[in-house]
This record gives sequence, structure tokens and C-alpha cells, in this order.
Amino acid sequence: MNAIEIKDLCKSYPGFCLDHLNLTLPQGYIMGLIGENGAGKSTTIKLLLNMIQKDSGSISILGKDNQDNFRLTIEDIGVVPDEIGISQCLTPIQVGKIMNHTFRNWDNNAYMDYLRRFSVPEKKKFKDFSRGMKMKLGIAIALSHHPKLLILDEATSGLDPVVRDEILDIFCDFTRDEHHAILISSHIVSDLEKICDYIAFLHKGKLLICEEKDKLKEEYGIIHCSAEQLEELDPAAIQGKKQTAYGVEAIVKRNEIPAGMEIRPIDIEQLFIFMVKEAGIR
Amino acid sequence: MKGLLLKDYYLLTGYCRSFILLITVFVLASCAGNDSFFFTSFPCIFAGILPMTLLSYDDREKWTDYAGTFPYTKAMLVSVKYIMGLFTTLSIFALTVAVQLIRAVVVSDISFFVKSIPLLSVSLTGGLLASAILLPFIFRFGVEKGRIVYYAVICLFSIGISIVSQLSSGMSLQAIARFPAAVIVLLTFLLYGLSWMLSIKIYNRHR
Repeated sequence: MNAIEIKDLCKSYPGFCLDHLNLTLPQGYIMGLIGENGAGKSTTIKLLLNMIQKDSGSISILGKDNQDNFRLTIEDIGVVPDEIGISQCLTPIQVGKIMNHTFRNWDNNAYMDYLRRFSVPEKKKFKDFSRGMKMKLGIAIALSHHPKLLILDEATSGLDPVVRDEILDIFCDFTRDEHHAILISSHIVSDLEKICDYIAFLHKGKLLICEEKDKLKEEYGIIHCSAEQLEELDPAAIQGKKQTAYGVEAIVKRNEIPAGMEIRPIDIEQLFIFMVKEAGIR
Repeated sequence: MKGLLLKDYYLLTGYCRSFILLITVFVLASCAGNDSFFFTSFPCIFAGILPMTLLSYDDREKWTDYAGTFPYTKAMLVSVKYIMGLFTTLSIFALTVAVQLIRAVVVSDISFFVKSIPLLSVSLTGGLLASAILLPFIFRFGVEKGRIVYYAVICLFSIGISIVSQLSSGMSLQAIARFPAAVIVLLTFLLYGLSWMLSIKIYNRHR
């Protein structure tokens, strides 16, 4: 069963259009949703969570249409938004009591364990928390009702590298269970590169690519050459290029480049930037 | 639903303590005179606007968006404010009645308490109507725009009170007693229920 299946999803606002989005996230995997501001990441997540109405298309979460009794489906979803909207006057203990009356599967022992593991002070008011603490509390809430799917919207942005690393470890632990899956959107592509199995690039509401991360790295590479050398290559092999004072840097499809040419490995961030720039030119 | 109620209860006790203290002072002050319309009616009206204060905190602290990630229906998110409105207004109403009754016993004037029942029912009406009128606007236009309606209603209410006071040289118990209290209260609850249903409809359609 797929954790998420999106087919031909469309949503338009004045000045923005999510255009026939198709995405599939199998259970047991982590998918990273990458895109610049306004690319449609948060809109996609809000559509998944039924927080806004789609114009057309279909969304299935954990095998169920998200229009059918979503209140039951959401019991199996943990969500960490970019801002944890907990009242400033509440303490984590009070939040636990509220959630105990909110989720059917709420596990207060698991919640208290997460608070201790993340070193979140149990009796401190939310207003006195740092951003890192707030995100950790949000993650503890999202994990303590034993969800099968985690949806994270910019959950690591604004955190220091040590906290980010801790949080990424928690996400990796979560997907050790083959019935669990994570959809995570972030600007910090290096974070996604560390933990994701699948990468989806969104640009101006369009899906540029959705592929296994390892396959992307196998398929694409980066070359440095002169402008004349680049012109000799098959244009279909070139996915993006950048002119520098020292020549041309280009993203290429490895199997369409003549043997003997030096192709260096590419990281996901470079691939994303080149593809977005190329999409802009086209 | 229990989770939402508990959350609003924590907010009420965390943020609105000074508000509750002010209301209590007003209730106690209502014992001061024989015909103190202002002090008798305003505690319930203050209590009636507490749900709007809670909504304002929800909006400011981004709870409104975060709540969408939990298994709450839109009807629940609306209903909790109406239930809190009933809870706060009826609690303050009960407190006002109790204080008035104690006063009547202390000064051995039960007939005064009986006469003040219509006035007390008007104060309950004022509190519940504050929520009933304002909540649909807030659920439709959001807290910021709804706040304008809120100020407009408060202004109109104050102007109304001052006109009535001037015309009748102070609101007298006898004047209010002419209205059948039970009918006023019944109509108020009916309006409150209609407002509740309207807000659910509005919230389902526009959020």
C-alpha cells in the first residue's frame, strides 16, 4: 500500500497554480519535497491534510481517499508544521493532557519519554521555549499517537545543525518500521539528501522531477568544459548549464555523454538549482 | 471535543485571570445600590465576550491552523467557542444571582431580589447575545475584521444604554419588570442556537 498517492492534483489561487501534480510515496520510505518559496510545497501539504479544497484530482492517504471520513485517517498521521501553534501559556504537561483527549491512540508514556529524550522541560511555558524546543515538542506530539505517516513542513528550518541532526536521526528511526512513511518539505536540501529515499522537485506549482535519490545521483553528473565542447554534446543530455569565467559547468545525463569525458558526482542541491534555472529559461 | 474544551479552559485560566477578577469586582459592586443596572448587567456581558478573546488568542498563536492537523471537525472548532460562551456567561450569571440573593437575605429584603429577576435575565441576555452576534462575523471574516464589528456592537450598545438611561432618568427595575423574563431568556437561547448553527455553516464553507 502507498502512504500517499496524488493524481492530477490541481489548485489555483490568483498568481499561483498547482498544475496536475502526481506523486506516490510508498510505505517504508521518506520523500523530500524540495522547492523555492511559493513553489507549492505548503499548498500540497494543506491539500493532503484537507485544510484547503482542491480544484480537481485525487488524494489517497494510507489507502483511503482524503475526502472520506478524514477525521479517522488523520488519527494515523503526525504533522509538524513550520510553526507549532500551541498557546504560549501552556506547558508540555498540559499539552499532553489536551492531546490525551484528542487522539484515540494517544500514548502518554511515549509522550513523556519523547519529552525526556529531547530534553524538553515538562513544566516550562511554551512562550519561554527556543525555536528548537518548540519543534521538538511538535515532533513529540506528532509521534506520540503512533502515526503511520509523518508530514513535516519546514520542520528543520531555523534550527541549529546539532538539533537538526538529532531530529533527522529520529525520522530515520521512525521509518525503520516498513509501515511508516515520511513526507518532508524543506529549503535545506542537504538535510533531505541525508535522509530521503525519494526526491520531488516542485517549481512554480509544477513537478519537475520525482525520483529515487540514488537513481538521480546515478543518472546525473556535472561536467566542466569550454563552451565549444558543450556545443558538441547532444542537447538532450544537458539538463542545465552555468557560464563561469573558467568555462561552462553543466548538469548532464551520464549515459548520454561520450565515454572518456570526466563527469563528477552531483549533489541534490546542485541538481535542483540547475533544474530550476533551466525551467526558468524555458 | 474534550481536548478542545480543556485547551480553552487552560487559556481562560492562563490569560483571562484579570478579566475574571474585574468581572468578580463588578458582581460584588452590584450589591452597592438598589437599582444598579450597570454593575448587574455588565459582568455577564463581559463574560459573553470571553469566547472572542479566546478566538483572538487562537488566531495570534496560530492554533487555528495547527488545529487542522488534529482529528477535530470544523463543527467542533466552532462549537467549543459557543460552549465556552455558555459556560462563562452562565457561571457569571449564577454568581450574580447568588450575590444578589445573599444581599437580599442579609438586608432582609427578599422582595427586592424577586423584583430584580427581570434585570438579571436581561444581563444574561446581554452576555449571550454578545457571543451570538459577534461569533458568526468572526468565523466569517476572521478575528481582525470581526474585531471591527465587535467594537461597533460595543459602541452601539453603550450608546443605546446611555440613551435609555437619559430617557428614563436611569433604568428602573419597574421598567424592565414589564418584560416577561422567561420569554426574553427563551428567545435569547433560541438566537444563540441559531447563531451556533450559522457559524458552523459559515466555517464549513469559508475555511
